[in-house]
Amino acid sequence: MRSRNATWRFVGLIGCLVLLGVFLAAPTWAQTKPVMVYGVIHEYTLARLMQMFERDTGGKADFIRLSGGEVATRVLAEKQSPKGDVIFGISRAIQETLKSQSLLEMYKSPRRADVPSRYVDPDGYWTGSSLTVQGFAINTDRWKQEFGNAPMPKTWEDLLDPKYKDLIVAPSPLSAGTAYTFIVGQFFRLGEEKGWEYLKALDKNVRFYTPSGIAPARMVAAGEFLIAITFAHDALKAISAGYPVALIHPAGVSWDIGSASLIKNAPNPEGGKKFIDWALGRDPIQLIVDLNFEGSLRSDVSLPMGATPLDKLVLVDYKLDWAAQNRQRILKQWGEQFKK
Amino acid sequence: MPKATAARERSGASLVRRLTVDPLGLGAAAFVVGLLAVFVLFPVVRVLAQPGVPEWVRLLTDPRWLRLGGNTLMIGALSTVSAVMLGFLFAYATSRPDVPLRNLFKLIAILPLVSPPFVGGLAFILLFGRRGVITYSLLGLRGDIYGWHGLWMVQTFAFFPIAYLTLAGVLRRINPTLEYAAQDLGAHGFRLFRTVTLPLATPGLTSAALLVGIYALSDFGNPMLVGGPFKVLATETYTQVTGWGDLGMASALSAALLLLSLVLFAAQRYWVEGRSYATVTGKGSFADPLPTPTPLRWGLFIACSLVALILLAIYAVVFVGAFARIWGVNWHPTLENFEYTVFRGQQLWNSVRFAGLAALGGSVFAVLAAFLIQRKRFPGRAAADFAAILPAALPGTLIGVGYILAFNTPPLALTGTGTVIVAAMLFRTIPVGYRAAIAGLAQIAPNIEEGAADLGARPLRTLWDVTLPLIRSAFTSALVFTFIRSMNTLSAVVFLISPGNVVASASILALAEHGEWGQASAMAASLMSTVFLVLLGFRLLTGGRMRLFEL
Repeated sequence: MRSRNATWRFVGLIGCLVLLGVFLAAPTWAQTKPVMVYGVIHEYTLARLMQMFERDTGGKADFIRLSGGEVATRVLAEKQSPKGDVIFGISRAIQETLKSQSLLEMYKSPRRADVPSRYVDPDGYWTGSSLTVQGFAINTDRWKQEFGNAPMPKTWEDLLDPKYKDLIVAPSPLSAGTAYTFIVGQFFRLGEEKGWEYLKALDKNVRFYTPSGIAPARMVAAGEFLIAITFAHDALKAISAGYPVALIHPAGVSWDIGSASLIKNAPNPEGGKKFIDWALGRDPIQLIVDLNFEGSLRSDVSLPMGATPLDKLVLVDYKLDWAAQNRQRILKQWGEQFKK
Repeated sequence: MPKATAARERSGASLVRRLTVDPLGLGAAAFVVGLLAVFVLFPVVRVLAQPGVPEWVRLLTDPRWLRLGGNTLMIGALSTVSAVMLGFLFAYATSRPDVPLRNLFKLIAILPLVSPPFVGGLAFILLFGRRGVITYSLLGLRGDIYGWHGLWMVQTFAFFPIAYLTLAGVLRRINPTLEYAAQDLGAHGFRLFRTVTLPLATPGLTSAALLVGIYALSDFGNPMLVGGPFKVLATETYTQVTGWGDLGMASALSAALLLLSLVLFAAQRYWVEGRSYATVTGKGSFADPLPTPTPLRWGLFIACSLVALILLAIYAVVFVGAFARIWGVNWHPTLENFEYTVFRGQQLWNSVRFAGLAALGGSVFAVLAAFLIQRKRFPGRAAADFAAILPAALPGTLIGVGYILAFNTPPLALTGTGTVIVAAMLFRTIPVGYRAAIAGLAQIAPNIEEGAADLGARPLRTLWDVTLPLIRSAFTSALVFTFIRSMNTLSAVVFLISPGNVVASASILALAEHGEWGQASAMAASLMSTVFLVLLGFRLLTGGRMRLFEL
């Protein structure tokens, strides 16, 4: 019988597959307990950072790269039995949320002394690691093709010119912290009422709002759009990769800081503390600056390649408390008014 | 005949009696029901219990969500129709032995499945975007793909392989003698197709539509990349978590998506219920299929060629991008992009390991569940059927979050291990293998099994000698499909990866998100090559006897 033979062959194959399964399932667990880092900065930078940690301290560290919200979700979901030790590079807004949910462990790293006091949590839950500023990115190839030698926009108001209709791409605050930083930045620059008016005027030129905060810079780098509202490091990264992009910081740019914290009831708190102390030191921060193009809070670390020095920028007076307290209201209002 | 069997069972057999007659069947049923309850229903319940009153109120009162719901329904319907049509075209063309290059088409049709999420959409933008190589540089078009029309195109290409896979098996099993008979009775050409081929393919078509529809509803990657101002619920679910970590709102939105999927499920149920599509009736046929009329043959060939060319272009982009210094800017060939792939080589191995385990476990489980649910009567059968198809309706994000909530604490403290990733991969893809097996079984008249039973074969023997050979193709489809999908799955596992258990698809997303397209392409190309190598190895190992994806 043809089908009988086929069945036996089939069963033989299943047997082989079971053996294969046993082989695949054979555990390959690491022997020493590494420090577990939930990192928000770039994947490649994190990998190099871990390598450097192992070389410098002899300890072991491993990481996963997540978006800020994913870290928050994960830490909350793992509350009963945390799996991570350290949160690294995440925005203050999310640190504050985690702190208010009692998901962080207070840890006053000795490195707090190395950075200005406004960049550390006075309650001792997080310590600033990097400074990120905003601006807009322009695709220079497209600019030359479409606007020739005309001067590029220099101020936020310049972006309201109708000739940029559908050429601007910006992130959506409903899902991207980057965009919320931008919006409240406009409020801090103009006052809330005028800020809303500015956003509405800008909306006329925005083709659509991307869910991801990094996407606009990437789309402008590829030439899909002319102008992106973005964090400087996302644009600088594209520039250093060789894309035809110019980064412009108008007067009154918003900013944020990345920060490090220890997760409450972390499985390896001592290792976590050791990692934070190490990672906020000069060499690791220089590595992050060089690979990730974020600004440093330490005075002994050089600027990212192509970045504008801080004293040449006009930063808005960012009020963290106000931004945190009004978030729900602002997001709701934004969601009602902007539909792209 | 099936009605009589059912009636006999309903009236006569008690649970106790069936237990003594068929203890193995009932034990297996308990096993299937138990696993589905723990790994499908429990995480879903955990997620649905997550949102508080404010989130539900926001969901029901904010006009934004209603608008998004409308968008979701519209694009879901459009993409489902077009993807199923395209899938049918490919399945029909490749089922005709006289269509040129049919084996090549079979291979190309599965390309979108082999590609990691994001990468296909990204390549699509690079080709057809505002500055796309084809639309802008080659054709000088000033079009704009961002919106529902671009999304429709991308989803059609992304999901038609799912329809193709479901339909290919179904069409191949249609007995050619039926077509001969119809022809003898005077039906030719389109009439033959409409009155014989199409009705026989109906269970496949509805299965395919259900799967594609649910995939389209819960797709978040493509709307994120090419939807532009056209937003859908699934993207919102994902970004509520990734952006602000709003688990409550994300869960509430998942519930809304789940509701839409359930409606689809019920509709498909209603449509297929009570009809018989059995064509394998024990009266074997050695007849060759009818020759395809020449105009139809070439029409099929040209249509498939066009689609195949677009797909080849999309995946060529990934490989070219992997070796180009900077996509679109500097085309010098380089190997630099592969440095990171090698540096984090463990991730690729993790992907193969986890996906392999999920495929082995998943295909056995899917076929077993399909067989039990299709052929046996046991308590919880309808619920098990529902649970086996449910994962397709769940956004990956919901599965990921649900698994964290469900398995972070004892008794099943699995988070942080590879096991939880394997489980997520396995149960997320269960519906495909399960539906394929059900569709296969629906075509096998129970009278073959009953015949075997009448000849004295015990249930296990019947399963072994009669049913298994007939659903082998469903098994191998499930095996290969689960492996490929799991190699590329992202939205669910992104919440479950832990240091040491990172998979390649998560790295690809992280790299692509940061604009490291070269490195992302390199890793994606490595991942796709790995999938093809494993498939090739599998095919060689089985001496080409095992059907992989109808190849």
